[in-house]
Amino acid sequence: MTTGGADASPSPPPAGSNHIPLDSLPTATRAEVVHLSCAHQSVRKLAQLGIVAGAILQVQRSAPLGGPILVEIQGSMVALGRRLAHRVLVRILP
Amino acid sequence: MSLFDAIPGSSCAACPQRCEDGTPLRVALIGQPNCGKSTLFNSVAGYRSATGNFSGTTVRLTWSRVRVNGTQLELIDVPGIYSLTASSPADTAAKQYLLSRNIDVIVNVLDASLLSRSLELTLELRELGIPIVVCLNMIDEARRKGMSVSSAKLSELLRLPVLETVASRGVGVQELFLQVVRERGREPEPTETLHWHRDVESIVERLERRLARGSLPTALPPRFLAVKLLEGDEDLLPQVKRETHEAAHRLREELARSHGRPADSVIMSERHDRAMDLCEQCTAVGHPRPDLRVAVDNLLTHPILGYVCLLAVLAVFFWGVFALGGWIERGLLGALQAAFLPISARLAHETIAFAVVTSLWQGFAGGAAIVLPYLLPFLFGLALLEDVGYLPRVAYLLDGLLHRIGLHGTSVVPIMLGYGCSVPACLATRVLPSQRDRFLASVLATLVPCSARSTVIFALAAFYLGPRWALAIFAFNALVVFFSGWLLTRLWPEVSAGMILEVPRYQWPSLRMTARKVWLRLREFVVVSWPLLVGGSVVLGLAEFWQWDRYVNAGLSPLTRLLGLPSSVGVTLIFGVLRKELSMVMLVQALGTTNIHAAMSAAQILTFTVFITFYIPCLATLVAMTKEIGQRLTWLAAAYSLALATALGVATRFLLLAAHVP
Repeated sequence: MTTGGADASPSPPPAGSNHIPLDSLPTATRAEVVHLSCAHQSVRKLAQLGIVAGAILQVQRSAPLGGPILVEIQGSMVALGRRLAHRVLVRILP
Repeated sequence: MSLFDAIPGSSCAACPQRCEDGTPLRVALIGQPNCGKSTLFNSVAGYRSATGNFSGTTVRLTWSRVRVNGTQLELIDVPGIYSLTASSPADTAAKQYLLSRNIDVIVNVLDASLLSRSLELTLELRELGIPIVVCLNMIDEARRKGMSVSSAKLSELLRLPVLETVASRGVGVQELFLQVVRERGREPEPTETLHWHRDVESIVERLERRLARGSLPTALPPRFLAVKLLEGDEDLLPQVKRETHEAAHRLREELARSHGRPADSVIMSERHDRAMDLCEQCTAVGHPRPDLRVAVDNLLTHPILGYVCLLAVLAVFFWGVFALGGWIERGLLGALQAAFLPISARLAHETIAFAVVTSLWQGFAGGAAIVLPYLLPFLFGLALLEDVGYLPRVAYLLDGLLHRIGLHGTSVVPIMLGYGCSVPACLATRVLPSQRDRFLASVLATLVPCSARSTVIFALAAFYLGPRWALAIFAFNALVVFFSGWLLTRLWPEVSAGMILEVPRYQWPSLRMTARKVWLRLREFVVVSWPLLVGGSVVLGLAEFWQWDRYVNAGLSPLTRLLGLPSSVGVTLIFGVLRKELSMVMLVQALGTTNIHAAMSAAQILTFTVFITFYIPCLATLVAMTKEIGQRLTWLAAAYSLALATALGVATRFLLLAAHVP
């Protein structure tokens, strides 16, 4: 689970065992965004690109050496820094 | 005859007032980045309007006047925004303009192939109470993806006119603007179908009623304000009374309690759901056609081959720029010198008039023949890479690396621009979200050798010592930039959580739009740097005339002695602040010989080049930097570069001494 600190959002992530951080989602697996525990500004920026709780996305590929991951959401591609992706909780869809 | 008549001489930077002759219809083109909005603007406005802002790098608005079937339109190209929630200074400017309500009709441009996300902005714009025409652009891209969008159905659901266009080929553009003229004065009607889930809706309505009750100090519609206040938009707080702040705060908490997550997150999800819903109702999804771009992208973002391609692209890019630049420089410099001969022959030497005219001419020729030949192809190549859509891929590939020096992939543009000219590089940091990121990116972008400093490296290290030494200096510079980022991040840690960047699909660049972008960046050089270059050159000429250089050299002798350089080069260092490439030109004068190697040893030439490469960015850059990050941080950046250059100069001197380089 993500650590606290200034970056964390005030609300705790909802309980659930099948929630994983986005950076550990295998490629080409559909998942639903459950919770965003990043800074307020990032939450807004993510929302602008369609990444909100309830949105469905999949990881296309990830860059080597701790680089970003490339996410497909609603037909567009978004590159997310690895640390940020770690703060996005998703649930794998059957 | 064309339906559109561009009105000659109508273009200028964003004009804050309504123009004198009549009251044209103010039409704002608004859409998300990469939706083809500027292509649409260009297809109507023509060449004459090519001015103002582009792709978020500057915030000036571009406008142009056109006549549509006898009606005068004032067309404003607003920088692309994803939503009405600002996340960078560039966004804020676009948002402020929208909220100024100085708009008669909005043309909301949507990328039909990204319909659902694009509609989120439409839903927000609808609340503004300004007439809207929805332009469903890139309908061909949507078809390629297997999406068939019914514009009639969308129009019925949104209760707004929806017109299909392919702006890049001019399809549907005439019909769009005829509709714009008809739409004047028709505010969007409220419609139940766009309302949100009942519990959220009831909270929005409660705040809306409260806002409507008290007299508002603003012309913004109560529903728009209510939604934005629930989203926690601080920019709008001054627009409402204090009591309402508390009411909004209570309702936000109520919303957060009932949904188990922050109110803004609830509102954003609502809008997302509503847009998805609309999109599903008017779109039939079939099979996508095979797209070559997917294969290209698989290669260019490949974990290994992607980097190989990147290196190849950069190698070709820089080689092309320097080959072309060198070729133009040689020709132009010769021609300019020949042109100046008759002028200088007429003036009596050793007079103040001669000193002023010569230095004016040198300043002008330096900009024209030494900087521009490299800057122009550089900016053109970079704009081409940007317009094709390659730069976001570069950002994706380099984010991991840039992260280690405290930046992220989004800073790729300012750093790359730094190799051309530091002035546009500093201005390009405006798209970065935090002051700290802007500071760090400007410091690193100005450490990178700009085309003027590259000229010094080539003319000194490459010419006298061989190209391998020039290459070594470039590589060494990259290492120092990397180390500086690492060091500065230790002193001022990263605050932003990381890169969030849309990677748009590849597009054929339009030459006209690329040229426009090149001109906008070039203008920063022509307007800001060039006059400073000329002015600096005159100061320098006068200093020489009155022989102030002796005092300067004496004052700087501790530094030159430390670096092991002849004391006569002192003056070239101080005036390098005015014009970087002039340090080299000056060197010839200061040493009194055109064969620099005769007066300075190989080690001295290298030490001098290293120092010139790193120390204080030129005056024009300092001015641009002050504009973006403020005076205090600019001084800090200058002091850092001076300390760095001195340390590296001394290190070079003693390393070469130890290695027995003569």
